Amino acid sequence: MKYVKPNKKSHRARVDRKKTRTLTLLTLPALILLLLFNYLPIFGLAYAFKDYRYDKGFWGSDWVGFENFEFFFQSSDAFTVTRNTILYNVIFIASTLIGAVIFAVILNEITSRKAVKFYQNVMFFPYFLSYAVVAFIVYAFLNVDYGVLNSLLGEKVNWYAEQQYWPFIIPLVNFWKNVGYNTIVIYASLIGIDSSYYEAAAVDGATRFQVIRHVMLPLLRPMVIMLGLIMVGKIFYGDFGLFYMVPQNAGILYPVTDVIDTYVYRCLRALGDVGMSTAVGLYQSVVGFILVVIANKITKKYSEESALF
Amino acid sequence: MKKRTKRLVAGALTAVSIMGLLGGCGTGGNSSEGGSGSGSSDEDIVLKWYIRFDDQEDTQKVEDALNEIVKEKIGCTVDLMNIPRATYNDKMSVIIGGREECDIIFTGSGYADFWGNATKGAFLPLNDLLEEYGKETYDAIPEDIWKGVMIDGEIYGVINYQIEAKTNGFTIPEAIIEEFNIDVDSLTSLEDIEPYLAEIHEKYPDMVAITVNHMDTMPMIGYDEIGTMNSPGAVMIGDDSLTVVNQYETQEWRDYVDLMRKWYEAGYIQTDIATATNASELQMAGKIAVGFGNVKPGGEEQESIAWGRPVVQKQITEGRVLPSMVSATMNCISSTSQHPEKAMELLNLVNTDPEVYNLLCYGIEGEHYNKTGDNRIELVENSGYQPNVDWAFGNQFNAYLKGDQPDDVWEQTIALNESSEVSPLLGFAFDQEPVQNQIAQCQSIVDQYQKSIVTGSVDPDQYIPEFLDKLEQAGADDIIAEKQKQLDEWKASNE
Repeated sequence: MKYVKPNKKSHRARVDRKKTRTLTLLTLPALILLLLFNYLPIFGLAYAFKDYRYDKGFWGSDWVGFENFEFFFQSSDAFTVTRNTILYNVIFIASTLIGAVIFAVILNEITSRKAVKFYQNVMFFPYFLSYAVVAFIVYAFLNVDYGVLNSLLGEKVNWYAEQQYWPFIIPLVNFWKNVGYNTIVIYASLIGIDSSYYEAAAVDGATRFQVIRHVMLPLLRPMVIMLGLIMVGKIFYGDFGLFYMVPQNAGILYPVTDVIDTYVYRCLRALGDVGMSTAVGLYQSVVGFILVVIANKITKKYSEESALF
Repeated sequence: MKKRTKRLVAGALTAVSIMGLLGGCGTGGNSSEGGSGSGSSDEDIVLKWYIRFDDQEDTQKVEDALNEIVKEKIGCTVDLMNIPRATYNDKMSVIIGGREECDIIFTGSGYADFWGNATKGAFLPLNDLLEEYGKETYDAIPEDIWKGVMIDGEIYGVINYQIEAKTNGFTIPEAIIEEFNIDVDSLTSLEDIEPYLAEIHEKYPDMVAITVNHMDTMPMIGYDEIGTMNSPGAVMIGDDSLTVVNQYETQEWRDYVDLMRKWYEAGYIQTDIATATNASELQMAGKIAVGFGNVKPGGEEQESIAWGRPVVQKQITEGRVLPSMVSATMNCISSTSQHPEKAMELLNLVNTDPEVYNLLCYGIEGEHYNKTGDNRIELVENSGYQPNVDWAFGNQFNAYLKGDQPDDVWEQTIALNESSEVSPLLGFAFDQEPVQNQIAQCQSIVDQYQKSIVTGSVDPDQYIPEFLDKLEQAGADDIIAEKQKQLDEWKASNE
C-alpha cells in the first residue's frame, strides 16, 4: 500500500485518515500482544547477567557480568552443537523451500479441484502434529524388534544406536512435517498471479515448462525470499521436539543430533540456573538477529524489492 | 527471541491455566479468596498445598472432610492444589520461579528440584518451626536421618518418613522360579543368576531374560555419590578417610559394565535397552523373566501388581541409608508463605494424626475404602479418590495396611531403617556454585555415555576411555577436587 502524506485540508486526506484509523484499530489487538509477549520480556534479558536467587529477588540478586556465558563457551561441545544447529537448519531451509516450490507448482498443474484439496490436506496434516506424536510415529518405523523398516528390510538394525543414519532421518522428518505448510503459502501466492501473464505467455507460444520457468518462478521469488528470511532468523535454534524426542534422546546419537537447545537443556537440568539459561537464549537471539540483518542486506543488493526492511 | 518468547508465553499460559484449575478446586465454599490477608484471624487462613497426584473426581469431597478435622484441630483450612504427576516438575518450576504465594510444596531430590530450590532460597529453614510447632514429627524420625535434608545445619524439608534404606535384589515371577528350578536362597550376587539366564534365553529367545535398574548403580557396587546422581566424584563405602574418587575410573564399575556387556552380547538384555521406555509394559505382558533393582519389606505385594503375576523378591545387598533416599520425598514451606507457623502445624498434624493422614491417602471410609480389620483396609475399585501416593503426604508408617501386606510391614521397614548402615555423607550438602560450569558440562557428557555404557549396549573398551577423556576435558577433576575440599571442611567442622 502506498503511503500518502496526510494533508489536513484535502478531502482525500480525510478519507485516508479514516481508513488508517480503522486499519490501526484492526491491528491493535495484535500490536498489544506483540508488545506484551515480544517486547516486554526483553527486560528479562538482564537475568543473563545476574546470579539470580529467589529470596533476593530480581533487584537484590548480584550482577555477575559475563559469568553466566562461560559454561557454554568453555565447553568442548560448543563447536559440535553450534555446527549441528546451523548445518541442519541450512538443510531444512533449502529442502523445505525447494520442496514447497516444486509441490506448489505441481498442485497448480492439477485441474481437478477436489484432488487439489485432497493433496493440500494430506500434506498440511503433519504440520499440526506435535513432535511427541511424531516421535512415536518414527519409533514405529525404527523400533528394532517390531519396527516397520526392520520388517521390510528383514534385518535387525538398531537405528537408535547407529549414528550414520541420523543426518538423513532428521531432515526427512523435518521435511515431512513442514513442507506442507510452506507449500500452501507458496501455492496461495501462485494462484494470486494475474492471469494476464499467462495469457501473454500463451500468445507468445510458450510451452508449459517455459511458463513455469519464466512466469511463475520469477513472480514467486519475493515470497520465497521472505519465507527464507524468516527461517534464517531461527537458524540458531534447534527445534527441541525434533532433536530431543525424535531420536529418543539416545546418548550414542548426540554427536549427530545434539543442537544448542538440547545441549543447554541437559547441562542445566541439574543446575536449574535461570541466569545461565537466559545467557544462552540471549546469545542465540543476538546471532539470529545479526544473521537476519546480513541476509537482508544481501537480498537488498540483488533484488531491492524483495528485502524485508 | 522468538523461542524465548514462546517459552514465556507458554509459561504465562500454564500459570493462567493452573490458576483456572485451582480456582475450580477452591470453590468449595469453605475456602475464601484472599484469605491470606494480614490481620485476619486463623479461621480465614487457607493454606495452599501443592502436591503431586493426578486429578481425582472426589478431591473436593476429601478436602471438605479434611477441613472439618483441620479446622477443629488447628483452626485453619487447607486448599489441596494437586498437579498431575507428568507435569509436576515443569509446573512447579513456573510456580516457584514466579514466586507465587503458597504455603506448602511437595518436593524431593527428584520432584520440584529440592536441592536447587532450597539453595536458591525458595524454601524456609525449618529448625525453629519444627522445634515450636512440629516437635512430635521431629521426634518420630531419627536424628541422623534429618541430617539428610540439612543445608548448613538448617533443615529445609519435613521428611515423609518411609523406607530410607536402599537394598538391591531380584524380583522373579513364581512361575519362572518353578519352571527353571531357581534356588532363590542361593542367589547372593548379581552373577549368581547367570546360569539361569542362559537357560531362560535358550528356551524363550523372544523373552527379555533380565532387566536391570540402572538408575543408581553406584551404591550397589559400593560407592556413595556426592551431590547430583551420576556427577563425577564419589566416596567408597567403608572408606573412613572420605576420599573422593571418580567412580567411573574404578575397577568395580568396570567389572559391572563388563558383566552387562557380556549379558547384552549373549542376548539376555533388550537390544534397544538404551532408549527403551516400555519396561513396565513388557513386564506386565510377561515378557521379562527376571528383574533386578530395589527391594523392600512388603515389596512383593506391590510388585506382584506391577508384574501382573505373583513374584518373589530376594535381597542381595545390605541396607544402606543414602542421602538420595532420605531426600527423596518431603514437604517444604515456601518462602512466599504468609503463615509459616500454621503451615508447620498442618504438617505436624498430617504426620502424627493417622486419621488425617489416611484420609489424604485413601479418602473417606465406606466410600473410597472399606475396613477389613483393625488397621487393614481394602480400596473400593474405581472409586473417585485414589491418588496412590502415600509417600507424598507424610509419615508412611501411619498408613493403613492394604491387601496382603504383612501385619508388621512398617515394623519391618523401621527395623530395616534402623539397622542399616548410615552413609557417612548424610548431612553433607555439596555447594555446586564454585564448579557449576564444570558440572553443567559433565552432566551433558554423562547423559551421552553413561546409559549406553552401563546397559552394555556399546563396547566398553572403546567407549569408557572416550567417556573418561571427555569428562576430564569438561573439568571432572575440578569437581572432584572441590567435593574433596568441601567434604574435608565439613568433616573438620563436625569433629
